[in-house]
Amino acid sequence: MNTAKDTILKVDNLKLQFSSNGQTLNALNGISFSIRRGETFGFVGESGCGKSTTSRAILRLLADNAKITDGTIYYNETDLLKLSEKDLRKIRGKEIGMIFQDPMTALNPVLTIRKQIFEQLRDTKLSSKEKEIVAIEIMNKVGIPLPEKRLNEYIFQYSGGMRQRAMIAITLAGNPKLLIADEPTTALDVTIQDQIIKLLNHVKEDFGVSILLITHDLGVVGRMCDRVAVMYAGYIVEMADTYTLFSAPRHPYTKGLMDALPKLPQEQTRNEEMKPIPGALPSLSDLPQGCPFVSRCQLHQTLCQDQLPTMQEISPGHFARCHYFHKLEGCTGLINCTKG
Amino acid sequence: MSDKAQNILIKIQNLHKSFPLSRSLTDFVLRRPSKAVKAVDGISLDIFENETLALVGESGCGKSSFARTIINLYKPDSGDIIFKGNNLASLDKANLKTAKRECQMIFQDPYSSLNPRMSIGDMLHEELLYHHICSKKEAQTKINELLDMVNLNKDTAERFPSEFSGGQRQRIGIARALAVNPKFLIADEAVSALDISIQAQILHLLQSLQRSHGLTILFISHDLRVVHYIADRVAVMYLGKIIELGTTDQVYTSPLHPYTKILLDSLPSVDPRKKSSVPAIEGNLPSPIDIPPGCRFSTRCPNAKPHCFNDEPGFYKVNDDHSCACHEYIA
Ligand SMILES: Nc1ncnc2c1ncn2[C@@H]1O[C@H](COP(=O)(O)OP(=O)(O)OP(=O)(O)O)[C@@H](O)[C@H]1O
Ligand SMILES: Nc1ncnc2c1ncn2[C@@H]1O[C@H](COP(=O)(O)OP(=O)(O)OP(=O)(O)O)[C@@H](O)[C@H]1O
Ligand SMILES: [Mg+2]
Ligand SMILES: [Mg+2]
Repeated sequence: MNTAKDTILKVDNLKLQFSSNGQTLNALNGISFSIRRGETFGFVGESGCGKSTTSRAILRLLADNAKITDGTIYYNETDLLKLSEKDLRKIRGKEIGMIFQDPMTALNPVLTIRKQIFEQLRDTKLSSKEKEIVAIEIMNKVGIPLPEKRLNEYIFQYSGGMRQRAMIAITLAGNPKLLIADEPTTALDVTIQDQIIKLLNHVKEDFGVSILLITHDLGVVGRMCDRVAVMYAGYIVEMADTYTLFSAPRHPYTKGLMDALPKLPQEQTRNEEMKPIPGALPSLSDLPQGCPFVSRCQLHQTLCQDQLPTMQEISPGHFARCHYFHKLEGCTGLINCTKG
Repeated sequence: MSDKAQNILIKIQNLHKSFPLSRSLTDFVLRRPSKAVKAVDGISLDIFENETLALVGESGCGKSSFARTIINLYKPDSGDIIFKGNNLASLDKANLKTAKRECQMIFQDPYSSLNPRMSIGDMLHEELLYHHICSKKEAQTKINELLDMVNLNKDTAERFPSEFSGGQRQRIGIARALAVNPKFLIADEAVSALDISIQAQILHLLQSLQRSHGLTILFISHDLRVVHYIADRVAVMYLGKIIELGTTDQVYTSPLHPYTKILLDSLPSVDPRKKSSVPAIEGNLPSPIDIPPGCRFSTRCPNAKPHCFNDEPGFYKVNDDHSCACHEYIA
């Protein structure tokens, strides 16, 4: 199977299981998407739905109890799932860089931040003086004050948000062509978040880096993503360009997620209450045979109990996995698009 | 706020906490002064019973260090913490154990605060019995309740921390803190890794515990939407100090400090058509190693006057319940 020229990553029908305590957890149940060159593709969805697992599967950095049972992952022309561990190591960091969700476990606790940045620059022909300049510059870019001093420190000496930014700095130093960013701004306040968003957008626009962005922050999705996939219980349930998804969500889960956002004093249009979607994610060891969202869905009928809906293209480039998506016609999400 | 009694639960007086930077041999030979990160640089604050006080401020300004110092995980360099009328530093062993149970913290980094070799069911079991929350017999039911409270399936009790997603780990930290019926809860970025729907569930849970158990919460968050939703009062921190304190309404609708104003102005819109940038703060973030003289915000303040660079402002009361550290508000 060849991938089209403008596609950098193509994931097809990816299935993955964890075995835990004699149980089989169906964490990914046929994930398919592709990322175009130079695009930022977003992943959103309920905590525990499989976002990090998908991104870890791409680099095969999975826990010992994980098993990929089906599917392909193409990076350009290379099937990553067929690659030897040795060849995969050449891809990790330099071709595909990953900003992990939990910097404390991803970074090396006994190396200074400087050493970890230098490590990423090992194959460049830079002198150590030049490496130092690069390291300081990149720490400045992620907003860490007094980098000359702070490069000497270890990760435990950093605050939560600084750890996250050190993680970003170290990953960017590897100069990857595809950047996977798993919740890169969760620990950051608005001003520093803004700086990081600008930095990532700049990396994308000026260096043509493609980005897979995982975030639960719909504001960040709006400012960074060209297209978005919404995940639920190991399925992609909706996928569209960001504007379409925000203005015309067509899966009840997506709609519920958008309704949950609380408003600010200056936003008259938003709801006062934070409304959770009632119920919980189904147990991955015991997924319903029909639609995974059925127990929490307000639109559900008997068909939904019996039959898993397929991804249907409801308008060009807009897919939803719902038998009754048309019942959401006319619904708006975060933004009102009556003006079109 | 008005309907809540204003008894002080915790009184924090002039708290300081710094971390010395490692010195190199050259520093030593050249007799360069040893430097330190001044994470908490003189904070005085009263936290009222049954309120939710939010603490906001730029990444690295000292929020987590402040929180850890309050509950004695870090020894303060100086200052006092008075919990229910008693100085935490002078409690005997038995009273300290009670105080430790009554003051719980949800840590910003959930994974490192969980024991990787213990299933979460066993971990909760141990907490419950150690603090005599329930009998051995009742423990299983209680564990199921706790997991359900944070929206985890009860069949996850057998699993180990490494077998959970980021947001699930965060919820395990929440369940653990709530397991022992705390009076005072510090939630350090407790919902930051959660999607909005689960955030809403957790916030509702905290609100209902506040009503039913009189819980007092110090809510550390960078998410100004969530803070607006949950907090009664808001404290704004900048480089180790509190620079504004007021009711949520006051702070959001009539902020006083220039830093707070900029912070609120930079709130991102959720509309993808407005990719245009939010006005970030001018100038470089100073470091807590070299805190600027005078007003600590002077290096970035749009309204700084000459004396701002020399004199440190006091903490001025501008309105009832609303105070601010800026020379402009000198009485
Ligand atoms: N090593 C493991 N063993 C067993 N189950 C696992 C393991 N790792 C993850 N899981 C489960 O797989 C599911 C998907 O996890 P994943 O980390 O991909 O979620 P996520 O979408 O990234 O969530 P979050 O937003 O909370 O980070 C979760 O329900 C989690 O409990
Ligand atoms: N154990 C430590 N050793 C040395 N320095 C530390 C330690 N803990 C914190 N610091 C430093 O103290 C300062 C304040 O850190 P703190 O974690 O309190 O910030 P924060 O306000 O919680 O930030 P964030 O929003 O990023 O979590 C930072 O400069 C940090 O590097
Ligand atoms: Mg995750
Ligand atoms: Mg912190």
